[in-house]
This record gives sequence, C-alpha cells and structure tokens, in this order.
Amino acid sequence: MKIKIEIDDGLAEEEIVIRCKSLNEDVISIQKRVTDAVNSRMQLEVSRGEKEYYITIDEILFFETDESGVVVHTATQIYETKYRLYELEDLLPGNFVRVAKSTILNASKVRAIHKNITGASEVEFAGSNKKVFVSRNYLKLLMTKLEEKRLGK
Amino acid sequence: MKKDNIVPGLVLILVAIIMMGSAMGLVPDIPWFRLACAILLGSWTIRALMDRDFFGMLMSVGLIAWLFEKELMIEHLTPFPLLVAAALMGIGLNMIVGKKQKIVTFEYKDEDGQWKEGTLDDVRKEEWQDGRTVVLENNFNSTSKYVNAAAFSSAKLENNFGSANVYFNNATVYNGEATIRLENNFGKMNIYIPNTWRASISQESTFGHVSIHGEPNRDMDAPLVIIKAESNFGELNIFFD
Repeated sequence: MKIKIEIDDGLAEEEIVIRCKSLNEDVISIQKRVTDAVNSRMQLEVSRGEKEYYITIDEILFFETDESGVVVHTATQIYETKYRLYELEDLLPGNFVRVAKSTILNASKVRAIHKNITGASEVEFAGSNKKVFVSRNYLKLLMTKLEEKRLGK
Repeated sequence: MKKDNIVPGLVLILVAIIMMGSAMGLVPDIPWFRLACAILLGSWTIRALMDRDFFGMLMSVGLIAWLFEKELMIEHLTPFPLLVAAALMGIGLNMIVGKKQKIVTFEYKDEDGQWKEGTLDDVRKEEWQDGRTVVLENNFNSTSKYVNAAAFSSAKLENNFGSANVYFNNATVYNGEATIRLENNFGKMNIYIPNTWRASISQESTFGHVSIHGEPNRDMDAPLVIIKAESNFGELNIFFD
C-alpha cells in the first residue's frame, strides 16, 4: 500500500482521499482510524462557572448527565457542556461509547474494568482516580469496543 | 438506643435464654424450628401493628397459623386458602384504612450551623433556602452526584446496595468549615474532595473498609471539612484530587 502526500496551495480545506480497488474491511478500518485521529484533535467548548474553555476531545475521560446538564470530566477537572448526550453521541469519534443511560466514556482512556456480575461494573481511567459505573446492559458493547481497539480494527 | 431494633433485639435475647434453659433442663422439650419461626413472625406482627400495616400483620398471623395447623385443627385450610385469604384481607384493609406513613428523619445543619433532626422535606427546604445542605440516599442503583453549592455547609450521603460517585470539586465551603457524613452499606462509594481543603476524618467499618487516597491540604488557612465515614460490608473510597 502506498501512502502519498500531495501539496496543493489552492485547497480551501485539507483533504484525505483513500483510493482503493474495492471497499473491503481493511479499507473501512483505515477510514475509521483516520476519522478518529482527525476527530481527536477536535475541540469542545465547555464552561466552569463564568469561564469558557476549549478542550481537545482527546483530553476527555467521560461525559455524564447531572441535574443541571451534562458534565465533562478530564483527568483533573470537571466542566459543563451545553450539548445533550444524544447530540454528543453523533458528534464524538468512534472511541467514545455509551456505557449507561447517563454516561459516555472515552474507551481509549480506559485502564481497567472491575467486572461485577451482580451490579454495575467499574471502569478506571489512565492517569486519574476517577471512576465510572457501567450498566450490565452496556458492558458487552464496551468490551467489544475495547477488543476492536486492541486488535486495531 | 436504636428504637427500630428493640423488638428484634428482645426476640434474639429471649431465644438465647430459652435455648440455654432447655440445655440445662429447665425448660420442657420444645419444637425449636417452629418456635423460632413463630417468635420471628410474632415480632413481625407487632412491628406491622405499630406501622398499621394490615397486610404484614395478617400474613404473619396466617404463617403462624400454618405452623401450628395441627394444634389449631385447620389443616384443611392450609396453606393456600389461608394465606391467600390473609393476603387479600390485608391488601383490602390497607386500601380502605391505609398504612401509617413512615416518617424518615435526617440530621442536617440549620442556618446557625447547629445540627437538627427533621424530615426530608425540612432538609430539602433548607437546601432550597440556601444551597448549603446536600442529602443523597442511593439504594440498589448506580448514581453520580455533583455538589456545586456556592456555600456548602453539610452533606449526608448514604448508599445501600448500590454504587455512588460524589464530586465536591466545584463546591465552596461556607464559613471555612463543613461536615460530610457518609454511610455505605453493602455497596461502593467514591467521594472526590478537592485537595485544597483540609480534612479531619473519623472512620468506622464493619466487614467493610474505608480507604483514603491522596492527601488533604495542611495549610491551616484552608477550608476544613469534617468527614465521618462508615462502611458496613462495602467499600468506601475518599479521594483528595
């Protein structure tokens, strides 16, 4: 497989084109990974108190609904966002996965899962003490996502 | 003294006395299993009577009658006609008369910082008035609570058979001192407290544990949080983040 970079001063926006003989699993996987890489550089507008902040998607550990709206957790901070969870699901790259009615987490930041067969399992994140509880109904989806990530799909 | 536990406590003491008496030959032979069941059901009947719960009362009486069906000569009525009749009568009476409403009380701090006992409505009133008091009770569920109070004074957080994360990161302590009471029973609780706060922690655990991660502030000018943590058959983590 060849990887080429073409420089064109005339382009209004940067563009990535994948040229292939047919649409197979490998091509779809490449497209997905490129999309995730591009989206992880995306910034999200969040707030804390009176201040507005712009944080990169990659810094985020998880989103969770609270009485007042949706909160955004990074390793050390808690912010709020104006987006609803269903809007975030459409907006966020594929490494973000819903793990409860009220929670979306960044699968690429997961360090450990304490499985609990009777109740909610607990997810730990790399570089943070924060934890998230995963409903039994969503655990399989999270495990599939982590497996995909491990196999580089 | 815990009022709710008086009846079961007395029952257990009574059973112990009878068992010892029997072992020493002071009490005649007794059908132990039936007697123990009858005593427990009897305490259930008394408690149901106190709560004006006709369903609980009639069901326990029905079960006692079933245990002594031979002595009462009601074998042709047991178990289903008797128990179904008791259940239906209990439901019917509860529908007509209604169960006595159980009043649950909480401890909370009033405007002057004094601990008071009141109903959940009182506590909520207090919370709505000034946003200083936070109350959370989580049962059999997974939940997260964010304490964003600008004048945080006290919190009472209880988790039973569930999982709870509580974040104090965006709260501001009122008047330099706040109290957090934590009780975790058969569940998991993670409490996140800013490491800019000082802390005084007392902990108690029965077949469970309380773990403290990170360090609170040591600066005497920093706001102080007094934490009273209790964990029974569960895991309670306090993180200074």
